[in-house]
Amino acid sequence: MKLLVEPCDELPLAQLVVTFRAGGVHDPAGLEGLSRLTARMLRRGTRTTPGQDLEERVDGLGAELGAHVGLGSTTVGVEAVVRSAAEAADILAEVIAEPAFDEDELDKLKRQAEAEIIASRDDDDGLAARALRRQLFRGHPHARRVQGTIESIRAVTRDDVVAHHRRAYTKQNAILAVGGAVEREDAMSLAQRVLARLPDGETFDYGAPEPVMSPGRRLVIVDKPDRSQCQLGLATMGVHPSDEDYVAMVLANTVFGGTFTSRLNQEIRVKRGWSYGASSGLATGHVRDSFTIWSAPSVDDAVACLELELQLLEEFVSKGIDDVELEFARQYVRRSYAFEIDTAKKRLQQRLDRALLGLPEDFDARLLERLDEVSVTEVGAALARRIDPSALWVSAVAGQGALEAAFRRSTHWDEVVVVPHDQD
Amino acid sequence: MTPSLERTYPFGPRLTIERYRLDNGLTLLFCEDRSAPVFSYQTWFAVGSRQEREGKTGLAHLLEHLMFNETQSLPHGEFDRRIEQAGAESNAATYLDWTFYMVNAPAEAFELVVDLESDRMQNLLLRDELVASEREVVKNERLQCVDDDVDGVIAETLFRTAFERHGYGRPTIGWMEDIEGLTADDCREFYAAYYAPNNATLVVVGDVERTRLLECVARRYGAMARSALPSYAPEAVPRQELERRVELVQPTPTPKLALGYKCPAMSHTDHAPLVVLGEILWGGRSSRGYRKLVHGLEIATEFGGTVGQFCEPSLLELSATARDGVEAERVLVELDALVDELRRDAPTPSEIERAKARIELSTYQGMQSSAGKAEQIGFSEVVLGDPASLWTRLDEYLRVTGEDLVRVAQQYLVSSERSVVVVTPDDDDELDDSEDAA
Repeated sequence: MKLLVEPCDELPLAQLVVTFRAGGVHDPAGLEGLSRLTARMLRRGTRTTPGQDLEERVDGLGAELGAHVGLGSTTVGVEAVVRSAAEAADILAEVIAEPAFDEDELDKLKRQAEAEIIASRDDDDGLAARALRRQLFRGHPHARRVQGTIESIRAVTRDDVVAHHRRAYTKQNAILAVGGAVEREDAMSLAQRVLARLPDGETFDYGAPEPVMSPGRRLVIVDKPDRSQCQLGLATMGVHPSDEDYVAMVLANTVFGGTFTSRLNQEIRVKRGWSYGASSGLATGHVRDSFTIWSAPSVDDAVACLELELQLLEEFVSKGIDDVELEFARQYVRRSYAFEIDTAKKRLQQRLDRALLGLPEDFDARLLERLDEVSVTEVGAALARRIDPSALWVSAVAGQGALEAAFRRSTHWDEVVVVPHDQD
Repeated sequence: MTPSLERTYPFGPRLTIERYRLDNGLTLLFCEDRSAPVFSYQTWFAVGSRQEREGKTGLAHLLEHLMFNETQSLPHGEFDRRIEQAGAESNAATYLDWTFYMVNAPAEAFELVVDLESDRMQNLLLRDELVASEREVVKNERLQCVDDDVDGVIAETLFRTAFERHGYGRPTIGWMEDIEGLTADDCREFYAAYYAPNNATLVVVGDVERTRLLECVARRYGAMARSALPSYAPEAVPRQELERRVELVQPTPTPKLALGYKCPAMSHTDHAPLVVLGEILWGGRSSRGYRKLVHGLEIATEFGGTVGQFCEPSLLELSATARDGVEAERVLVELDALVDELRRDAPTPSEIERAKARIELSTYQGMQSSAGKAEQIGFSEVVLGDPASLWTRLDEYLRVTGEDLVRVAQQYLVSSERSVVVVTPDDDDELDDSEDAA
């Protein structure tokens, strides 16, 4: 069990966070959403405290209890005014070790989770992102929705939840982080309190293989009528932080779409006014994840915007970046790093993220050192190795009809998929 | 001449705000905070969309966009490039009462930031072609945040309905037809009138040396001329005597409901008890609203609210997303029952204590970054005239009693004085699909 401590006495707040190395990728097929339901059930009562009493206790302490589930992790944490830190630790210990998993409460939660899935169809950003990941990672666990689907949520039983909890919520599978106005010695004591009732257990492996990019250029249209705007995403495989090319790709992404002055935003928003913003990003995960480009043009400009993005991407990969751009990116990444660590909470979260991915504690220091070593040639070579503009997926949220036809005509597609917007 | 200290205010457990004023009326609020080698530099203007005229809505917001463009000495794009090269980030926001600009930067970029911020405050160029281009961006922003976003439509409709002839009823982003008609001349006139030192407050929080700050501010802002600010007289909002209701059909999967009760300005003594009342009604999972609507009856997916934090009387808003198969009217009936309980009986002592504890926690949570602190200070100064009001208000919240809560519930949660927006999905087939899946 790993313990991270980040003391900071600027404010009378304390953070206690437990991250278990178990998330959406560990949900059995057909039971997607299991790990998230399990985490949410922690707040719905323990063996000694009904859920409503638990919530009252938390609120009364001046504390906030929350759980978040990602592909490879479940994080349960509490932030409290420091005078309540010990009691908050006891609540955290109780919920992670002794949840009741009451059958009626689980049924309620499942109904609520279904309702949330239906309500999420309002969010065009989310629709575009999910459609893109489902296709980009087709057949791979990264295609899964951590929230699950209506069908998979309905399939989850109490036995499934209990079994998942028993396997995943163990000392060996946990990383604990304590921050805020807490002395190091007290942090140890709080940590022991939090984990005291957990079984030893085993450490989970991430378990998902490296994803493989299929060749070809492919389009998924999310059919949603009455749109005046089109959420437009492009994605291909990205790079893992432990890859040799990582630093070069961070610099490349900064130039391409990582800032307001980046190429994407300048061409799409500033010069043409086609979108409120345009950006690109490298997702970070346990295994290689995606490199994505996002914009939101009006339906009138959507096809032209896509064509421009493809053109910019092709130029980016074929010609790379120049010395001026590289120097700008170096300075931006180095100097803006101050905002990655300007609060104790951020420093703690960063250390937790690095520990979860198995990265060394000095990962960021080494990255900053490496910035000056990367050359324009190296960036160009990394781009050529990592991004193939002829192998990518595009997702567009738009109604069927004229816009779909225009998208189909815009470039050669090896595959076009149209999905209803209520496909969860 | 460097400005002299007017007064200080304690700000939280460890910090102090210092107030300075230049002869031209510019206010400077400085809070030294060495907890990280960064600072936040914010410029708050006491002008928002409420000062716009009919037919020119969206002007304050468009100008906010244009403030990132060229000045007499900086070509278009150079402001952003220099900011980013320094490792800094910049942003801005416009709302009903104010417009503010923010640069968060590493400590070593201090003089660059003062130079850039003072330059665009007095030397902005507003050429026709750049205004036209940014107008397109704002139109896209409106499409994204309102026209294609049902929550944006609801918020806009609620305020328009509640404030029929008042500036608060006009959307800050502007009506689309008004945005399309805004000209460079409109922007120049607005800039000249309102972007003046006697209408501005600089807020600087972080790792900055005081003497250097005062010297830089005096040098860069001292020669700016005051403006004869346009007079603004709040329009009286006639007392509402009947509930106003708007029913919309929208491309959304489930019904939605929004209510707006008239509430006092943030400076009013009743505002603090309304905030505590709000926590009891919608704050967290031990709140009455969550327990009844989301967990108990399972008729809502989401339930929440806010108490307006504005210079003038505004709205206490409640919003709910109904579950699939539940009509908005059903949610409204149950919500009305909750409101009636609050009007009738004081909440329990434990409910009140929980609400206060949540407010205390959120107060500290808002203080973690330089930018968060600066935003609190600037907002408090513009809306309340007290930069440290975050802490004085915390004391007010902690003093609220059960009697206060019943009194404000009876006075303000009045059905005949509220506005209601009910949204029905425009495709009933969505409801049938999910029933079929069962």
